[in-house]
Amino acid sequence: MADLTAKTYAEAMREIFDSVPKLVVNLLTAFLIYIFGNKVFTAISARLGLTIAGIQVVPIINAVVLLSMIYFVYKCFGEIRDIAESFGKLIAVNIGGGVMDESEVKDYSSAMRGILYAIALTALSYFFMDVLNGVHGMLAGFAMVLIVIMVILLLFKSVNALNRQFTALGKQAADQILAEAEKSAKK
Amino acid sequence: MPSKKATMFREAMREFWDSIPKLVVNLGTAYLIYLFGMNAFIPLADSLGLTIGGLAVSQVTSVVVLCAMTLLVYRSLGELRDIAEALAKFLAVQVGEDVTDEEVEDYRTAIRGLISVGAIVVALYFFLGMLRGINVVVAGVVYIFAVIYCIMLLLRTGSALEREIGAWAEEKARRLDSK
Repeated sequence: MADLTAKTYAEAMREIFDSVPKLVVNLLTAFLIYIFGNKVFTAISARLGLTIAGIQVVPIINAVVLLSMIYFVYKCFGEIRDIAESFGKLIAVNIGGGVMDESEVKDYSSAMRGILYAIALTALSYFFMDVLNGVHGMLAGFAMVLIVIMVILLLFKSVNALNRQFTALGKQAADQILAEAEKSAKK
Repeated sequence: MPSKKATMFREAMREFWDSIPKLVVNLGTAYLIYLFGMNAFIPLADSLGLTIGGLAVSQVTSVVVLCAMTLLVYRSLGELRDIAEALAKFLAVQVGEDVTDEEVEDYRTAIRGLISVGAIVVALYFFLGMLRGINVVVAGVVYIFAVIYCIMLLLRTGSALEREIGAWAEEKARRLDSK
């Protein structure tokens, strides 16, 4: 069992050190695309009033920027999943008091994944909505409502996973308290 | 410790430790949803002026967030009821020499009332902001109903405690008489 704990801990740390740099690079690239696309290219084409066959260039640039941001963000979500799983493993190693099983790792990983995805989606909506609003206002509205529902569903998934593990911890605490009460009653 | 008291104590301890973690997780999530909704999504939708068919997205978001919070709070109410039950059993075990079903029932009513009032006050603090974003009149009506419900709960709590205090005083008086 100690071997499993040590192995899980080592795996988790390796995954974190593997995924965090990739995540940072992908996020920075997406952010740079946002900055250049939204603050430079869109501004220039809007100021010059550029059109292609009667269609304004601004929404086209916004769509291009959006697609490239989606590509990098998609890559980020893979890394976030790995980081969440590593955090789940680290929590299972630390909370279980050295004793841990697969379901514990699975539940904590699932909970962490839900919470990190929710935070990531919320942060990303700040950038995406701005660009999406430039493409089409109503599309941005629909996307916003969808993101809100998705964040709530992710948080619900996390709650269910955490509830399972915390209930087991509560049972453990009650057993411990009752055993101590019985011991002191016998004395 | 007499056997009935010991059994009740064990039951209460198990119920208490079964419900507390669930309550914390459910309320924590409701709070997270509130934070995301109030501090991120609604201001963002407002600042961009997003609409769907003339309907403000911030209002739609308020409704979605409110529904999710209501579901979580509803799940928490079940846990609060179990915690009140456990606390009532603890109290019944501690107060008086023997435990009767009426005693447990009275303490249960009293503790449930107090916890419910506390929960309603805290819930109002979070819900009213959201409700006001949807409709001010609805928020006002809900607020008045909540106040009336709290007063009714406190009245029930008072009468349950009155019965128990009366019984306790009667027992004390009987003991003094027998001396």
